[in-house]
Amino acid sequence: MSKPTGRYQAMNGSPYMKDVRDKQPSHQRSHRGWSYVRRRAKSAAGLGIIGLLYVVAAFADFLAPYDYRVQFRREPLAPPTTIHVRDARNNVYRSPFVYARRLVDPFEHRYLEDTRRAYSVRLFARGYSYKLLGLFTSDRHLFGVHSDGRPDAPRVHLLGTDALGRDRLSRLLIASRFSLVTGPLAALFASAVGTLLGCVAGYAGRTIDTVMMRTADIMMALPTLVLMLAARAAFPLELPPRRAMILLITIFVTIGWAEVARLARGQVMTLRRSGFVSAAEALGLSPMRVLFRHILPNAARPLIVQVSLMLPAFLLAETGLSFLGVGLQEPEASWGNMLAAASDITLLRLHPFLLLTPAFAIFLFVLGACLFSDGMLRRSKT
Amino acid sequence: MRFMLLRRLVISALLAVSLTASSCQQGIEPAGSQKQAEPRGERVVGTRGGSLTYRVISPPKTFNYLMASDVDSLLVSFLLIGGRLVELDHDTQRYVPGVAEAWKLAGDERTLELTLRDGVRFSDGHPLTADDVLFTFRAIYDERMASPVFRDAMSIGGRRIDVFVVDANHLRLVFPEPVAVPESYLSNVAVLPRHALGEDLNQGTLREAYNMASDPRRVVTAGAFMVQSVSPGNRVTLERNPHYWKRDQAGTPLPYLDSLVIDVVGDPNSAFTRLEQNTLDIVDRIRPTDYAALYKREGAVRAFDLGPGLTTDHLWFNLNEVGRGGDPKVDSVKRAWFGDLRFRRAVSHLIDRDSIASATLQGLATPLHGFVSPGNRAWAANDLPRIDYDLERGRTLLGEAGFIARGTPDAPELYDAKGNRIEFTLLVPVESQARTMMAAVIQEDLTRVGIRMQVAPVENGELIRRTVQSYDYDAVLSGVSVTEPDPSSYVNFLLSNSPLHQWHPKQAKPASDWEARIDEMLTAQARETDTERRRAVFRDIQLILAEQLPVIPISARHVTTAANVRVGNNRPSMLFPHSLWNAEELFVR
Amino acid sequence: MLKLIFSRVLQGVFVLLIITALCFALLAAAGGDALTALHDDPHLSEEAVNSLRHIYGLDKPLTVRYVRWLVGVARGDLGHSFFYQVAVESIVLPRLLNTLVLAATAMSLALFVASILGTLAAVREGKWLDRSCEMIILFAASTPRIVLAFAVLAVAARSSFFAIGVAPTGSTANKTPATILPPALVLAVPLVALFLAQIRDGLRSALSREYVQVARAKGLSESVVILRHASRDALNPLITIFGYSLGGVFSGSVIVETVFGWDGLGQLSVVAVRSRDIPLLMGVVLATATAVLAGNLIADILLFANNPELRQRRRGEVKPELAVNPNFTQPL
Repeated sequence: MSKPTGRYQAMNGSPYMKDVRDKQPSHQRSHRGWSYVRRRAKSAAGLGIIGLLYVVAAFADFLAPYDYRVQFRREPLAPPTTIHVRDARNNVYRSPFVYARRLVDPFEHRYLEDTRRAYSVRLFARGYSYKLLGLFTSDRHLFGVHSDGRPDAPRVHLLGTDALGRDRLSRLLIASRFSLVTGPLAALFASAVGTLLGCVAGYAGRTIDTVMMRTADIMMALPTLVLMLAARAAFPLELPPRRAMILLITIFVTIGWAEVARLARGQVMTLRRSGFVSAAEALGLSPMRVLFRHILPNAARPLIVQVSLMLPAFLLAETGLSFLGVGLQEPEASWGNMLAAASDITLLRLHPFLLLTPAFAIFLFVLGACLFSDGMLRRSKT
Repeated sequence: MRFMLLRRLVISALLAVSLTASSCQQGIEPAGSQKQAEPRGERVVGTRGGSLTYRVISPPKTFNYLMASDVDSLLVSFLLIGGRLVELDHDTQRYVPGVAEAWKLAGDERTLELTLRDGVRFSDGHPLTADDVLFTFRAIYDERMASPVFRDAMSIGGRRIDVFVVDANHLRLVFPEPVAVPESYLSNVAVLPRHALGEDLNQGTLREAYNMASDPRRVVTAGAFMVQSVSPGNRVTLERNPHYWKRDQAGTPLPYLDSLVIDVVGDPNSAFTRLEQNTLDIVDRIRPTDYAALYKREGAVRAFDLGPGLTTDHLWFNLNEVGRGGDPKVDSVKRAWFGDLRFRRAVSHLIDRDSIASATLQGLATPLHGFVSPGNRAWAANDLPRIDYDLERGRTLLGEAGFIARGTPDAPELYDAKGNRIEFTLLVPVESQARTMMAAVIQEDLTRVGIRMQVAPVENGELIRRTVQSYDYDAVLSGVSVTEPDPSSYVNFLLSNSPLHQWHPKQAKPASDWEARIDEMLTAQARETDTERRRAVFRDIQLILAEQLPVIPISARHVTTAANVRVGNNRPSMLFPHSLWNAEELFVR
Repeated sequence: MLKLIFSRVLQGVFVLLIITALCFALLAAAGGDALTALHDDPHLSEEAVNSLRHIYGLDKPLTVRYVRWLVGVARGDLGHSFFYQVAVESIVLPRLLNTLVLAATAMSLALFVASILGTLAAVREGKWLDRSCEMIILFAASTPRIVLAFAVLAVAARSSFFAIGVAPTGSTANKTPATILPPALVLAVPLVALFLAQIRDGLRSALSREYVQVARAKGLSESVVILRHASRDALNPLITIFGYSLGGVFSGSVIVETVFGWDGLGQLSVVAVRSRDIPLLMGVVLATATAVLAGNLIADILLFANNPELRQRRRGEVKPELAVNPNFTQPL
């Protein structure tokens, strides 16, 4: 069996990474210490960003001031609420406050503030009740307007509202749950399936190997998004969110395993020729034992890098499908279907930054994943 | 069965337009917004020459109008290149002579003497005679042709109109039963050339004739325009039919335009920017956001809010009897709720129509309280009771019907007397952004009394399959869409044995007294030749519908169009085909 | 050389066969065809729909339909689009052209920017330019096209220069810089990361090779060293990446074309899926796959031309090692 050709090994890098086996890391000869620190900092920063996003997702209920489904009918497409510290007569209040506002031009979404009464904005305000982390019931939210029990009290929308008058910040926060679970879970499953198949292919030898790798070749040559669209179209659109998630994950895994399988196979084949595996085999250990106890642990790091690269890929695939209207459906929120609202060019002209907040969230996540995998990969070289 | 074209357009509207158009048709306007009833300008004498570009959403699929089944194909093949016997004047909403110069219904109200205009010619110069009209009727009724829209539209109770040629300019039409408005049939006929298509009809190949790949010069028509060239899927260029019969007041032969370009622009953003950059002249059914961006502007592009169109949005529950469609597709528990008039009334009171129209749809919609859109000024009953948004009234009605509210005031839960939680799924066409948004509003409205409603956006084909074939659904948010205001357009939604009788289609015999009564009244109005009496009958029908609420009316969205100021005689109509109904009179300023 | 091309084409045809067969099977399994909607139409009798099925051959078994389709393709007939009611090839070919124009613009744009920055960064290792290149690569690689598309759309929408969408072929507004730049820019940015990383690293390792040191020792000027000697060595992986990135560009064009209303294959595929127009979708898949494989083939040939010594070696080892996978990092 020949050494795996270049392209196979090459599949495991992001654009700004060099190959694991780069023989002449010339630029690394200088500043070795410094760049080591920098690489560590990079992966730590990446991990930090991703971790932060997951923490936000976990505490989304607490951070979100309002129920993401509740519509404030009189405030469609409202700009962010202005938070005041001093009123018109320059009186400074004890806490920041907001005014109620009224829609004056529904076409340009202009609102007028009613300055007769100020409502203070408080931390840990009471709001709708929820289960924190699925465990404790609570109705405290990070911030909110102190309403004095008045039903007509204004609301504070830091990112404004969408066309149905729903609080955009709350939706963005809750959306992170669907978006941050589906893609990464699919990446994990795809990696597990891919690793397994890759190992089998690398270990089992010729026929199985050829069949599997040709299959992988073809999977990788398929027009992915078109396939996803076709597969998604085969199922009814009225799926509840959880089942939609499972369906998307299944589609992603079916398509995504090939990439990992190739990498795993390459690793297994290289490691198989190394001394310690030959020794283990000579000792008469079962192939399973050799594979799982001796080979896999040594192939772990490149595989982890691979998984961290797949995280953004699948997150983006989910976003794309939701954007094209075949992912998660309203009134549930995902970054993709929130982004779809930005596809109206006249709205985008009016509120570019508000409509692009989900885009920014996606960017953050991908940036985190890239930083992490980059750092990981470079560290594995030094 | 009468005037199926209109109701067939409903289907096409459902099937084809909604895919793209409906996403553009949702309206949004403020309460009490500037009702921009832009006075339709006077018809002026234009100048010949020039070219205008019109936007369609999906590509026309045929030049053979008998094969057309979607609005964009119908626009080109029937309204622009077809020479119709009778046309509808959108200014007066009356039928006016087209290729037929005069017609007279005999005393039996079945026999019609038709006189063709003298000297009408097809686009190849061949004279148009009574034989061509006879040929057209043969093509319409031909079995092999199986015209998806027009065969049904031209059948009355499943029977054909008999046509006899008297001489080259005169025909006699015999209807199978008395008709009130024969014009509605005549306006469905665009004369086909026998000399060009006779062979095809005899061979049974008429279905394939005049397709998009045909040589444009061989597409012989009698309308204002003829085909110049086709770029498949992208653009159809029409040019002036030099032999068109119509002239303006000054005697100049119409159409004014040298050519009319029909551009396929699916993406609404592209349509909008191209409108702004003057590479598109007319865009119908713009998005509310586009309207908002244009309505005040003093630039080259003007937007028009033409008020509520004939399309309505309403919600209906599955009222099919239990056991229909095989295994219990129709849930007996839910059927009991839906069948209870008090439940339907309660739901109707629980929906905040005003906020849907004014906020959700930005005011580019009018709250709907009946079956017929208020846009249909001639026929909509204007004395129907308003359905107020009234939470307490809703609760009372539900209580009277035996429903019990449990749970907390914040999170109420509604149960029926047997202890079943009230929950159901609302199907909504995924292609229509406006209806999806309405569904979200209704969903929230109903949770206030503890009704749990899921919203399931499904593709239109699936929606139709469930409502007409499998009956496997709870409730649907859709509507009716007709192209002409006459009551006959609504007949097929209302007849109990019709497949389009949305809440309970294809009934063998009327399932309820009021449905039987409506059936009778529909027959009566079809035979009624006195307009006032006909209007009274149609008003009574609307009253019954408002009492029984088989459909819960929601809104009538406005028709909004936009055009460059260089388009002369731009007098858009709220009826289809909005800006192109007077295509032959449009000119370049 | 000819032998190589021949075997590559043969391989490509084989892959195409498998891909199309798979898609065909998947679409059949997805259920429903363009006539399903007619079935739901209460006015068409069951027999009428079935006779239509018969006319279009939709009542035949899957394998028969696939073989028929293949025979048609061999004759240059991709079938009849139900949605557009015309031959599939008359729809697909102009759209393919539109997408290729977009892809070519994006790729040359990316290559242009990347080669300038990459060369400078390689020469000035460790300097601020090098470090800012690092940042450019990081940000370019981690900005998803869907995010970038909206950002660019927001800018384009506010400027009066840019237009959104491509006018139908034959129109004066067709493919001006105003319409092509926004989508091309979006497609190009991830490619910049790809090319820049490759050029910088490739050039850098080439510069440390012996023959370059020799050339330097001979007293050749630095620019000659880079352009005549080092670049040649650094070109190989770049060519491969260039060829293979076409696949990524095609995938990316689905979203980008939808956002910008560009009338290309990507947008067409969304239309085809939504209308369940299987012949059209198969046409799109075939066109995409062929274009991607052709890109790979061209890369192989160029590689071969650039490396005379490769001709002596076995086929399997033609490709140089790549630092990156062009297709994977940006699936959309």
